[in-house]
Amino acid sequence: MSDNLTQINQEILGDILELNLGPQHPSTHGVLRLKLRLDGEVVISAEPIIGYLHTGVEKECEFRTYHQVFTLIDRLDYLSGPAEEQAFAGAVERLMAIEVPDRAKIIRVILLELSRVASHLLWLGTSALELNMSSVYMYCFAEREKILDIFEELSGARMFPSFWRIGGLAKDATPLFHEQVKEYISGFHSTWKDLDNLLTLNYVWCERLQGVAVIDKDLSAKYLCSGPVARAAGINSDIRKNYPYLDYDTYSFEIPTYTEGDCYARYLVRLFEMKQSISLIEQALGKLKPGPIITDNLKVALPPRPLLARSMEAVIHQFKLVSEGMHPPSGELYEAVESARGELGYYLVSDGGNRPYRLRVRSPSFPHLAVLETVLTGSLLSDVVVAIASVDPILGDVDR
Amino acid sequence: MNTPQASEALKLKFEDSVLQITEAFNETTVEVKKDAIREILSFLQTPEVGFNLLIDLTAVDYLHPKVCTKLVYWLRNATYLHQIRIVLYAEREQAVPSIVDLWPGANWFEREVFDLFGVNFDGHPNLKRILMPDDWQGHPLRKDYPLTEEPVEFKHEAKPKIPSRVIPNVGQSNTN
Amino acid sequence: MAMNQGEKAPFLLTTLESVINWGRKNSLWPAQFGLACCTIEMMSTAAGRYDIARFGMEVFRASPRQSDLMIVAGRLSQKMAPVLLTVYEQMLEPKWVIAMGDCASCGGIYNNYAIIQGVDKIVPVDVYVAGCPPRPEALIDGLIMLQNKIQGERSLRR
Repeated sequence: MSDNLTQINQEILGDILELNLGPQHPSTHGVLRLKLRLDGEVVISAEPIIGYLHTGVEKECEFRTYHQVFTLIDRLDYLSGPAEEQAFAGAVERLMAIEVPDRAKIIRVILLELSRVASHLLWLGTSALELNMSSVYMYCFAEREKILDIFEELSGARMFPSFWRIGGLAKDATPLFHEQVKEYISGFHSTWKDLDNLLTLNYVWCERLQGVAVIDKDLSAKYLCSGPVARAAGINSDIRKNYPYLDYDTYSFEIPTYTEGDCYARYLVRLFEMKQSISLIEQALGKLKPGPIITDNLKVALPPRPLLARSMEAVIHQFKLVSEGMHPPSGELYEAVESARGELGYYLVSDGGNRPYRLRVRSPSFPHLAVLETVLTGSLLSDVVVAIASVDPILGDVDR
Repeated sequence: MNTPQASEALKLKFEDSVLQITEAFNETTVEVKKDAIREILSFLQTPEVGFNLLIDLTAVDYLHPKVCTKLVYWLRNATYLHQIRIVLYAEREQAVPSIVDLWPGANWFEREVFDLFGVNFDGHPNLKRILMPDDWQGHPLRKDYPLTEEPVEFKHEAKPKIPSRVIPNVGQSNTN
Repeated sequence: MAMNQGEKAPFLLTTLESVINWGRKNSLWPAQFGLACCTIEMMSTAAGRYDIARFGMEVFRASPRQSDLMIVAGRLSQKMAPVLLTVYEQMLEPKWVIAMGDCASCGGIYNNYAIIQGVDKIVPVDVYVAGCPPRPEALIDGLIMLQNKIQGERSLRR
């Protein structure tokens, strides 16, 4: 009799619910679809399905000249557009062995670190919003608006400056840019303190985040994780330190690393990374000296306007660059950059023509979503939202 | 081991499978035969050699001089921070051994290569499309797949323009 | 109430109509349909500096059945198009659609196999907001334009 009851119980209670956390969902950080199979509240299997934002950028870049590619790739990882531009510009500059002037390097570092802070602020705001802490969302966005003001002052566009050129930057920074950046970094510490006080020892935050979605060192290496996900798991790796670009080895900064590998550790990594970025910006501002902003190699960079009135070669170079584009030597190389999400790599294959033969974007969030399938098995439904948020995927980068 | 030692060790151990080793832009590229890729990658993954991080798995499609797909594996040594690129050429309809059991994270990368280039992987547990819709015909990143642009219409009976043809393609291989 | 174009509408009907339209336009509830980069500017519009709560729209409902405005923010890919149509069909009448950004209006900077050249190939659009991404002020301009359009609708007459 009791056997029958157990069997009936199992049949009723053992019902598995197939739930579709669909592409249109407020908490999936973009158009991510998760096919969940739930037994009550416990997740039995979670299958992430991507591709809802596939833009065909890699194919589109094969049909554009090297200068036209900048606007296309800017919009891939739409929160850290400068990182994408730096990776591509760095790849082409290495391919053509072009020296970037120091002033351009320093301003590039400032823009990269500002975009890292903006990306982490937005991550924090939206993650807190998903746990129903909407005042953190308002604070983070108010702080982010100040960074977007700085971008707008420099390049005219809030989110996608499209400011990188092969060999330097499009325009020089105005004195107002210096003032704004100085004012920003002096005011950032109080906001950071506010966010720290609001969240780090907050009971609800800690309970929801600690011990959830643990990605340990082994899993992180097998699933090709990088960036804050790997650093929270104990892997002390940062492209800025390991393969320095833009003279990052002349700056002094630390890399926050933790060992637990849960969502709370990833939160702490990003929180302290913001502080390190501000210190990097301060050092960069101290190093800034007047100088050229773009290389004077006319086969690559547009000539300065005054020169066009005096020199015939400059006019011819300008004409060739605009109507045909530049011709790097043929070859292939891989250039990696530390974006806010992890290792962003560009594999560029050139055949000597004016268009890239193949431009491959190795996006950092692609393997992070793959690891979710393993990590979410056995967790609760409410942990699914926290796990996706902590991994910080940007679907534009994943789907390209 | 660092990269020069690793390429030497590869040449010694797999003499007939390693076809060519090139160096350019501070990067080493080792071209291998298609069927030996699993042995080579598991050899590189061993603790003595130490290239245990697979950073990227991708493909490049070629129409000249012959129609083939080049698969690119980019490996990194976590201790020495050296990197090495393993490259193999596969014909269009040939299947390539899958490395999902060496690195579980390569699952999605191989699915993406299958989706966009049409390369079949032997031994992959779940080879289906990942970026395109499930019933899509064709493999978009192949060189003979058109970009499928919509011509931009102009007023006053001006001819419609195709954006990628406004600036002509000037290059050595003259593809697309 | 079916009436011919030429007939003069009774006074009570038009007053009631303008009251109903006023109520509808000032309490639009957007459905979240943020796809890509324009979503970030939409979120900035909903945040503190460019507040759209002053227009009554801070309530971004997650469920399409509880909303009447769909702001399609971002590029629409081939795989996402059936989802867009399903969500649109789940919304109840009266409903409006804003195509935010260049990619939603006309395909934007992408003209290839993967991006649908304009959301209006799938759903009827009321207001197109241009920009890549449009500034929050531009989105608010589009919303005000939609509000004016709603005010002028003949909601009780056909």
